[in-house]
Amino acid sequence: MNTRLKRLVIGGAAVAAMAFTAPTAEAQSDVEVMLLHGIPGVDVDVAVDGSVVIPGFAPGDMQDLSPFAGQTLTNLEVRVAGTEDVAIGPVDEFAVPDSGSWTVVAHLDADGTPTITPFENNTEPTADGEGRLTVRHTAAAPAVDLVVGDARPIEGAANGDSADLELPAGEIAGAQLAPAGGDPIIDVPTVNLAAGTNLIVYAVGSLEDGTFTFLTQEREVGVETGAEDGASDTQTEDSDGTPAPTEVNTGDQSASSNDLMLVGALGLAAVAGAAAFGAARRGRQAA
Amino acid sequence: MIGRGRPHDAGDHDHDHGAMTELAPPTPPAFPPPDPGDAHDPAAAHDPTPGRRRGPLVTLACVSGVAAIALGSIALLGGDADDEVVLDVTDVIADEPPVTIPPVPIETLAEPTPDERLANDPEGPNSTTASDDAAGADPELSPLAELLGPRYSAVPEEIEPRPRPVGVRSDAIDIERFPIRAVGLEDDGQLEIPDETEIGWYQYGATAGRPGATVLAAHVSWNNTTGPFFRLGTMEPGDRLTVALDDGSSRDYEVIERTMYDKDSLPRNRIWRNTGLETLVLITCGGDFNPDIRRYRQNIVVYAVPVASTAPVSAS
Repeated sequence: MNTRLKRLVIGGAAVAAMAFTAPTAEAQSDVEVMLLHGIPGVDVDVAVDGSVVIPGFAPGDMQDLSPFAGQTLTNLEVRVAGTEDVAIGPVDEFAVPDSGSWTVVAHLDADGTPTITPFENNTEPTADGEGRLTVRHTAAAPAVDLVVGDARPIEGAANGDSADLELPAGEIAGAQLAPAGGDPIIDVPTVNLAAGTNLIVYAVGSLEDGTFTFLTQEREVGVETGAEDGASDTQTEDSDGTPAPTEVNTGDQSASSNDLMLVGALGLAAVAGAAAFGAARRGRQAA
Repeated sequence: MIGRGRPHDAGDHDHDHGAMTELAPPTPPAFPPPDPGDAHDPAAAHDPTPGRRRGPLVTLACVSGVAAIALGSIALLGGDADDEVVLDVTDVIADEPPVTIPPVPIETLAEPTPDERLANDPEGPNSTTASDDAAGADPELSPLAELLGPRYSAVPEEIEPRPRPVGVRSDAIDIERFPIRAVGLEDDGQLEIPDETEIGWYQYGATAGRPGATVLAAHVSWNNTTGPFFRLGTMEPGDRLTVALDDGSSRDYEVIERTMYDKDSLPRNRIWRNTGLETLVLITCGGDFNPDIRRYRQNIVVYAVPVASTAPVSAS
């Protein structure tokens, strides 16, 4: 049996016998609760009041618990899969959220001790042509920066932290993680961020044990309607979600305006470039 | 911009379209240098249309960093620690025997709607019974198990990054000496344009060989000199273009249209898309110049479509 699990102190989101308080159907229709197994290496059964509710829950599995929203769960046991060996618990009580979107993550804390963290997901729609990338540090690793090229859009994220980035929809490749302030050491997998979705990337496992990896969860949040349309034209409703630049400016801030007009006219008329170049040079000297 | 505040969110989400780039490791030249003998030009040897006119092959002088990876529009945002609640109920773990709860009134529970949720697993939720035979052998499966929603896999699929354009050549205009780098959006939402020494590939659009529009944009003039697309306005239908990709492949296109648009009238559905007919789109500025804002009032757009000879089937 994994010794980590023995040390697990369940923080909250316990699935247990439930004190039902007559939930309404409406309350459940707009609530989403997911349980994510983010501890590498151990398959478990989750038992409630002595009976298994979630059998064979494997690392990387994500179980929809939305039907239990609004319930107070009590008496949870986490067992090694297929056995009666209780690895975690019993946990006395936990109230499953009754509104909003939550992902409850079983993961390692910074020191490698299993823990559970409920993250509330951002359900706001994205802007037109954008998606929301959420990065969650749920790994036994020090604080990290997200490195993209020369930029660090997330800095000093520690275990249990979550950060949202609103980005143009598209492929995200080449991102890396670095110890806060240090050089990148881990490649983040290439992901496709679709417009109107929230892509959540979880760093899980242990750097020390070599079990560090990534899990992802994709949620539909929709695109803002009635937003200001910065696109090139107004046919937003027909867009396939590709971000549209507001403008393409490919010829300003050069020489004088007269020269530029000349350059443009020459380009259109297919006159030799040398003439325009000469004109531009003359203009610059005059200026 | 519409406010992005949300309940339970103490942090203000800075919504910054800052464009940023990463210089990738040096890549080999987009196009091979010309062979003096020409008869054994490796490019020509693989050219399925040997009869067509070619411009001189010029080695790209500077292609390191061409496959730049740009990931624009990333908000600077620190750890959003206020966003979640880490529950620690160590002290509430019961020493007493567990409380027994009355049976669950099943009819009060809403049916889960799996199709409303986006899972990574395209096959949909895993079967809870199929996921572990050993668990199925457990005689004590709680009635609560039937109430669970679907189970998904959060293990991401491995995605190979798309090949990226690193160079473009034409038989009509001299553009192959300019390296290409990936560009995104500026803070104010306009297209990021490299200086006069480079051509920008719009990384949120398509790439050559994939559905949608591969957009290459460059200055007509900049820094008191001509830009890479200085002569774009002279391209005519029938002109050929070849895009070199960082995986070593290339793709041939034929110009089908050249159109001038007012700056605010670029057709979004033709240019900014990742679906539909594969099209190569070259954009620069032209037309009237507005001296007040020192900008052109129009964009020149050249559309090109793949020529049949570059379809994969004819590669052999």
